[in-house]
Amino acid sequence: MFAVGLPSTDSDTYWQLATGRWILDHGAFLRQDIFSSTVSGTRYGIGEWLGQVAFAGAFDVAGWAGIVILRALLVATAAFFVIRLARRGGAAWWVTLPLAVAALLVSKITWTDRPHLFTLALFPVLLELLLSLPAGASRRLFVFPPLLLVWSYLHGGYLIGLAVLAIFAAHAILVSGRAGLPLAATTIVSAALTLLNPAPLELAGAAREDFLSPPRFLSEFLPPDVLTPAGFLFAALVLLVLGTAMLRGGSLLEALLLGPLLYLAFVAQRHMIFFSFAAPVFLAPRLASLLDGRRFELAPQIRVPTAVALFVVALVMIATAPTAPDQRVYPTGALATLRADSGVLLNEYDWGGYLIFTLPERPVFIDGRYVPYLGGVLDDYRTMVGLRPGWRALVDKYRVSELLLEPERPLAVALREDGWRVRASDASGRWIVLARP
Amino acid sequence: MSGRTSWSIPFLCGGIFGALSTVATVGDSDLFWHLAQGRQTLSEGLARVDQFSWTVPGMPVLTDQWLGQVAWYGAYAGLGWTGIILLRSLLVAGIATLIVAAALRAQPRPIVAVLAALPAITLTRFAWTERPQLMGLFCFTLLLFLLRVAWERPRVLIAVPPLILLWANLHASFVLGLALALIAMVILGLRRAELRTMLAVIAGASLAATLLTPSGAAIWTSASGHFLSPPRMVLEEGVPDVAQPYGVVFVLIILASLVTAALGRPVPLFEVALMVPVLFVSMTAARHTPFFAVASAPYLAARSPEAVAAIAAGLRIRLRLPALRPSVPPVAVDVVTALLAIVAVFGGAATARAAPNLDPYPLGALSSLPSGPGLLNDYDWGGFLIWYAPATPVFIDGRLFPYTGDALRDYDTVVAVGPTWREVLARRGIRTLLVKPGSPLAVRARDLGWSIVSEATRYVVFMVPNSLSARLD
Repeated sequence: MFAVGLPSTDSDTYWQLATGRWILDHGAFLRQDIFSSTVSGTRYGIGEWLGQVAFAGAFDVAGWAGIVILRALLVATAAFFVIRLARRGGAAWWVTLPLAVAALLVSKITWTDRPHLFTLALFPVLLELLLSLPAGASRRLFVFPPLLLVWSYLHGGYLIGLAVLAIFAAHAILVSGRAGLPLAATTIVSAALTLLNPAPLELAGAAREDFLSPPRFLSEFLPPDVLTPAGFLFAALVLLVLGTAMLRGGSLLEALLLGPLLYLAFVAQRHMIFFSFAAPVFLAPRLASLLDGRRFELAPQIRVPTAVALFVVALVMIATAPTAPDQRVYPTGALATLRADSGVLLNEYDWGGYLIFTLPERPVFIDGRYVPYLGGVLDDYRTMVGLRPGWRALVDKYRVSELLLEPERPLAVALREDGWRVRASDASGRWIVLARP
Repeated sequence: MSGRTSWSIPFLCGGIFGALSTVATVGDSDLFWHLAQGRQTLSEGLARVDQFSWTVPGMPVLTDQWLGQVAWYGAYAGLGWTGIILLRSLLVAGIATLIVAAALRAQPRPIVAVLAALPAITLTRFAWTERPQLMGLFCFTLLLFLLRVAWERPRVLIAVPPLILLWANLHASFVLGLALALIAMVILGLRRAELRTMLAVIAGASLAATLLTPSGAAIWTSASGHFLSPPRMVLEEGVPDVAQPYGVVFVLIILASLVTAALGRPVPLFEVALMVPVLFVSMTAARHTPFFAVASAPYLAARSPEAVAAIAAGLRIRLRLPALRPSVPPVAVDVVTALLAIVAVFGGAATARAAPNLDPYPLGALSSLPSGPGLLNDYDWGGFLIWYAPATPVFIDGRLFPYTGDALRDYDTVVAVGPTWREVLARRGIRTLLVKPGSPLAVRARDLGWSIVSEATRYVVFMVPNSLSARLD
């Protein structure tokens, strides 16, 4: 319900849609850059091709409402399984519900219209499947290889899924000895199957980079800040897990699973969801045991009306779902001016995706895909926009003829002083278009 | 644990780490303004308004670290830079001693206790700065030691009010200590009803002690401001980052605690109360990370062997620690070890390089700075200028809080070449710039051909043209 009521705002949505649309139109993988003026022709990631196609398909079918509904479905899937995970220990609803809601609120920072949402949905599905797995050989094991294969087409988060599968396999061997071997074999088969991805090592390489040297200039890759709402809830879950485990003890599986997921969460705040989704599995029963004797159950006579009311609200939310993205943060007013001009455009990083989608005739300088720009273009972009030594030579080297930047950028200030013409500007001071004199 | 505890190993560790700390160079950017403020307090009385800047002169400044500043300046006045190194290494030795002692109280096997204490000591390395902050960390370590002893011998809590009184005058981190002490006393009171009157008196005295500072009740404002709204623009106030070495150690300590909690035996609520709130505070800012490391060391010492044994059992590895406790040596051995530790610390300080490391600072620019107002300096160099160029008041410095508002905003606008940077230059009457060569302001000033008075790899001094203010007028 909440997810469906949120308009699309993420800047990466646009280039993901553009990529998905190209794949659908051409019936082939988009293996090289066609959107930029700086890295045109360079190879870049195709690891999320199915996720991009899914979003583009939803857009083609129902426009922005299709995107919103797809997002809502994925978030709803995540919510359903997170609540199931929290209820596994049989704790009362008033213990499990706050924990699940807290975990979902932590995840809200990742409710962006990107293939990442598939990982948001599939991670709790995987946990639920693994936790309900009987010891030893089981037909349910056959679910995992295809699940991981499809996941690998959807989003790079499948690597975390593989790691979790490996953790459960290690735990099964440690606890049950030979009975754990079928799950270990399943893990190996799943890992092998993901190599059928058209770019099997590319995602592993990108994930390694994200893990070892996260791009801190992107807010989602910043470490968790406990003074933000999501960070505070994450910290609360960490403290509760630690505090209750100290009081009641835990399990080997908890140590093996939550330890790595907690480390991952500290690497970047976008990874907080994995710990937050897994923590209630262990936390709920411990909290329930600490609060033993304090029973509060919903009266049977109000359960059905509550469910009906929630269903009606959900229908209303779907009916009133936003049919257009929130573009207030984008330079919508600059498009007409830019469309009339030509030459190399130096654009704000955060607006690159938006321009790819709305102004395909003007290749971008840089955009949220960031990986193709690492090393050269990204550094040059920062040098120019931040007015670092050598900026002027770079402006000439790239033959920049026009800028679309926030007016307070040092480069925008300097070039205005140097006589570049103001082609257009936002009345509320959010963007400015400058052209060479 | 009952019976006498040997202090030989804690003293030994304290001596080693105290001596090692003398190798670290002196030169924290905030040291210099702390020294200047300590000197001012000793010579003219407590300074309640700014006297070092030309942007906020006469504005109120924080006095919450006055005693710490006096202590650092006293050490400098007595022994020069050697005094600073000696005081720092004594504090480091004290912190290391108390961490190991607390671990040994929880875990009688010395090797295990020292191993468990090492990560905490390692993480405190990032707080071995010559500032009152280090005194705050020492007080925190001492308080935690007292609280853990109080679980068995509650009378030691009598030492808490005087400790809080001292701490509140040294550094604002006393708030964390007071909160922990109050929580511990509540839990102790719930467990032992006969102690409630004594605990209530101690708690009241501890609260009252916080008001016996020059700031009075305002001391709480500055302390809570730091904890609840850390200025993220300052590196050490940033979010703990696992991509940095200290962040790796910090997160590994959290993971070790989590794994130990999951696999070790349960502990009383008292232990949880000493760790969990501290973890939250440690997660708020990089500079707070040593707190959790210190708080968790005794727990890890006591319980981590159980977690290791549980994992080993899963791997079918037989692992058994010796059941015997080592014998406690005579008191004379403790005394000799303490003397050796003191000798090591003093010897290390005496042989250390008795001069600050001024490489990061614009030492060569000092002779070209004009006296009187008009200099715009880099934020990181404000403290250095306060100490080394007293005739040139600064635009901004590491004290930060007096500048919050117009001065900080104007500084940000000019150094980042914001849209109104020229207007700010003219309005403020800035005549000289002392900035890093790679900063946008330096690049722009060079572009515009402003005259360079002095220049080196780390700094550049520009004269702001008179025509700028004339044109804007």
